[in-house]
Amino acid sequence: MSTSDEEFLKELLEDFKLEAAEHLQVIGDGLLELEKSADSGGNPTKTEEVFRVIHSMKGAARAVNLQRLEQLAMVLEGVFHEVKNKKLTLHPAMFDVLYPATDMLAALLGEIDKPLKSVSQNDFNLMIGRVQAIRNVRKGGAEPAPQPARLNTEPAAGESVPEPEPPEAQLRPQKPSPEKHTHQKKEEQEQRQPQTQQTPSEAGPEAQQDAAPADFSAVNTSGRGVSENETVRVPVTRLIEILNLAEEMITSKNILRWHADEFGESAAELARLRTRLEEELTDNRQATLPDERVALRKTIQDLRSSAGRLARLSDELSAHQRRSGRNIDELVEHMRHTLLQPFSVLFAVVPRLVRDLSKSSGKEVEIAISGAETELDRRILEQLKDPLIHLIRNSVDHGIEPKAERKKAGKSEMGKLAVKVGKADGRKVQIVIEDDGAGINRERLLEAARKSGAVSKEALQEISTAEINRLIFASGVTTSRMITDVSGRGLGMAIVLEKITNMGGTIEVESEPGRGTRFIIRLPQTLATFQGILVESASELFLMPAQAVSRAVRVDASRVKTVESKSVVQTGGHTVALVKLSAVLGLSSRERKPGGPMMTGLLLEREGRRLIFLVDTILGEHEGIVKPLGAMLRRVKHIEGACLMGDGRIVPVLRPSELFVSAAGLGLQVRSGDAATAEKPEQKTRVLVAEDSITIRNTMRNYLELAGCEVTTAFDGQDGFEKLMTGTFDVVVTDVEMPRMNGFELTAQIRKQSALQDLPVIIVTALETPDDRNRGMDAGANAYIVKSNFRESNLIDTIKRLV
Amino acid sequence: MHTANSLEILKKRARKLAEPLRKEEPGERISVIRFLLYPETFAIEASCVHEVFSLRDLTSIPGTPAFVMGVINFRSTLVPVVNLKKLLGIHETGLTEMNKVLLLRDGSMEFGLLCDRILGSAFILQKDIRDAPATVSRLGSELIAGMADENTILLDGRTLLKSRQLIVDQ
Repeated sequence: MSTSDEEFLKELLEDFKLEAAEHLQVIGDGLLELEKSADSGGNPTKTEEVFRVIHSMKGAARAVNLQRLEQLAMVLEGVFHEVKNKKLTLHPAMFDVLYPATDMLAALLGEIDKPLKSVSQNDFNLMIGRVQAIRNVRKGGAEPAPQPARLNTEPAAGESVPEPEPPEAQLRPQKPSPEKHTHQKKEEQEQRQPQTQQTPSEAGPEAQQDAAPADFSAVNTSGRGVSENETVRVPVTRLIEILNLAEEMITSKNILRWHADEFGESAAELARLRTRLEEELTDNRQATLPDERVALRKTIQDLRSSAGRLARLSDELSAHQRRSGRNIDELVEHMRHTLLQPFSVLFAVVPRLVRDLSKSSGKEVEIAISGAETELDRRILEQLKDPLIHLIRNSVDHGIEPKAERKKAGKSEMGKLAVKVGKADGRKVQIVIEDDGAGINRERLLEAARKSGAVSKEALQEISTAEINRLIFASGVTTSRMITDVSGRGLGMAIVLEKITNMGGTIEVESEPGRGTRFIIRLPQTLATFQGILVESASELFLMPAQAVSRAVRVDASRVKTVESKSVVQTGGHTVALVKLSAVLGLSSRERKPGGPMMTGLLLEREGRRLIFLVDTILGEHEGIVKPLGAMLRRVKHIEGACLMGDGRIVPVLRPSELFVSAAGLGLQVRSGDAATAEKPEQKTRVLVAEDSITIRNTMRNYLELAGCEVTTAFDGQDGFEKLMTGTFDVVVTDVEMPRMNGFELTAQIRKQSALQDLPVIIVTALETPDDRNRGMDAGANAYIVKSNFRESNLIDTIKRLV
Repeated sequence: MHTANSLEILKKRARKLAEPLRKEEPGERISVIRFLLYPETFAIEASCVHEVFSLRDLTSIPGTPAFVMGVINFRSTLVPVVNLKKLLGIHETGLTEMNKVLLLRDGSMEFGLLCDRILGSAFILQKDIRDAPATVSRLGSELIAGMADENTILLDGRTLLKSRQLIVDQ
């Protein structure tokens, strides 16, 4: 086989896979429908549809030479052919064969890319036999079809089987199914069907002639311009790549905005400097000679035009930045809408799940799904899968009662479970999962909640129904007396809540004892760009997801009270506990700023609980993409990921649910000690650290801060010198090897300044030669510490001695 | 004609001068990157090292184990950076530069290794690798392949990349 042939086959296989996956879905959906209607005389439309799709699959499988798939499809086709022609009536028991057969079709499809077969030939033969047996049930096997005999012997040899009963002739004149235009996928499938029928063996000369005009008309349609309904087949993976790239541009947008702002500020600064120069020149007429004045005037003129040009450029840049920012937002939004998928993708598993669950629990449950055509962001759909499965399992497991119980309560033995999807206000989608079971058992739930510590005894006194129902989302609360692999560990609902809130959605529960339970989920149609509140805590930056934050608060330290060893404050009519974000994150030892009379914090609300997380400063809002922390940091407590800021900084994004848990563990103690330390201000030693290595810089800062110093850092000698000129320090600690200005030069510069002559300078270095030591002392350093024995030499002691 | 002639001459000469291909025993030579992590010198297989660069900015992530120094922004991807000393339990003898990053990568794992200085690349011979002395192997035996020479500890890069010890999953 030549390479191009191989490539062609490969392409064909790819197309086949896409198509077959859709077919499988239609078959799966169809079987469920047919099973439901099995007792009521069947559903001819569905039978027709399933038959047609299996037939297409068989033809296509033959075209790409997938023999086993073709064989299995063929025997299945045979079954549906007879059902269609009323020679065979579907019996509920038959579905126990048809479902596994469909699963095997999927498994065979999965084999395409694999070197090894996942379905053994033995299993395959058995399955063929089982499906054949369905047909033999007909008329008590009085009239055995000729095909089964052939099939039972031949597949074992792994040979291709000649088509037993080509149904094409009957197929062609059939009318298309009434659901033709329900949604895009089905439409596409219909469009493709004529082509798949033209498989080599059946496409005689006549058929080819038939096909030609059909193709021609297709060309004509596109020739008229792009029609409303025209579609292009694009692999989803490629669309996701494009979406990822588009979303990556949100970071570019932020970078561009940051630079545009910086540029604007620099331009404005230049203009201010020019004005100042002009003023100084006017003020100091006497100090300058006329010639110099003329030259300076000329320079000022030049400066003015240059500043003007910069200002114009800055304006243009800003305008461009705003325009492109809007374009990027729109691009991302459009891409997200392109990737909307109908709920049916997710629901494909649901009826099977309910069927299996009800079988294993001995209950009878009928599931009704509506609104499956509603479209949603595929990432939300992916994220929604687990919560949805959990809620459904919960309904079958806890909600719907055993048959006997239902009978006693005067309900029908068959439990009802409904999943309704629909559009809600504000581009949201609403999902309702409703059962007609026993409802939430208040007493048992409260008991469980009290046991797990989710709610205190006192709080139980005045709890409202809505609050009780909300308790089922608290982690550790389970009303199940038995822990099964299905549910009962009490974690599930907490995870459901977390997943849904993470996607910017809400979940509510309504329940009536004896009548049933209803979960209402509301989700945005597309996954929103992450919005966070940028805060500083213990001199580090963090982003708190905006959707978790009720509001920012200012708390008067004098109004903080201690109740049961918890710090609380009255705000908005509630008593709310306070906790320091840095303490929750374990950063307390690095606390720098002494608290003032006013404290800043973010008020978060969750599971009906309120909590204020105190921070040093709220810096603003940020919008962007939350990136994972890398494969090694698979999951970090409290930290969801991080955002890249416009200036390239990385800022960790917090995970509110865990902050709440950890805050509870802390006992929520915030001493208004913040205020207490502020009352007795102890003058800290102010240290300037000049060091080019970021690692050492940070280590030194931590080390010195732990020792109670107030530390300012500089990234080299030049930066250090500039900081010295603008601030007040008690001691300087400097490295030797640094770009721009090294430690010796810095020391020499310090000694040249009359104001700094007595400022102690400590040189810390990796260099160990006596020469260096002497050079340091010559430059005017007061102490010389070698890094390798940094701890032993006790920098702190040296500082104490010198200051 | 002239060219055809001279081409023939050249070919002849080439044949005459040609030496048989020298056969190298497979796996005998290992290409390594040597680096200083004060006070020790290390070597790691070059095939594990994707790139080497200077550390510019580092964001610490609260709550991570001590060997995780933080994350860096490497071409718009976040990459964790590891302090090998903490991982191997080498006593910190003071402040060293720690401002070079060796980016280690295989198909599924990626992280940076902080070091003081990159000493360059070298070839070492498989047969020259000695067992690490007890004082060294005690540090983290499965991560150390042996001694590349008497002063250089050879890290097992593949094992390091596959190590469950490094994965933070809280």
